[in-house]
Amino acid sequence: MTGGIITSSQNVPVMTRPLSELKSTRYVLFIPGGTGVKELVNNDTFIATLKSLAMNAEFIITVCNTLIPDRYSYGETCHFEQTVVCLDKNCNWRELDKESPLGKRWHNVYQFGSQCRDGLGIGIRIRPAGVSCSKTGEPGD
Amino acid sequence: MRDVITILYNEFETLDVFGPIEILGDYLNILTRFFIQ
Repeated sequence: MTGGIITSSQNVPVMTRPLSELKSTRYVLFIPGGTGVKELVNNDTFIATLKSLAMNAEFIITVCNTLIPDRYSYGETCHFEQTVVCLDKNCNWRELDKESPLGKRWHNVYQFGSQCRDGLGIGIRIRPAGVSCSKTGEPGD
Repeated sequence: MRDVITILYNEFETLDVFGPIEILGDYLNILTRFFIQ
């Protein structure tokens, strides 16, 4: 995580900065979706860093088919609740197939409907830091 | 003022970032910063 130009699936370049520059103690962690997630899910270094960031985030926001960091290890699942901000009136979150690569690795991975990539079905799920957890957690839909 | 730490990685979805960030600005008093994989 050294910063530099990152390019989206649509070839939009964005200049980024390295995590080592991060000084914030009060921040919102925002994780977009994208096809690049397929590689990241097997990147242990990235996953460890993501978990660390999630542990200290005030809120975690994920969009579309992204990674949802499970800040609570040991197999516990966490409730997703609080605010859901949708750009589409038909907000329809569904849990990712548990047999999928992402679903096997992560708890509480949700996708927003089936129109994630057409620009109409984008949604944001906001989970506050420190939400209560249970071993039988259910989504907060 | 909150910082928004955005994890960008190659082949992220453009609309996943710029659409929601614009909306978030209406909800949170934020300063957007981009960080990467």
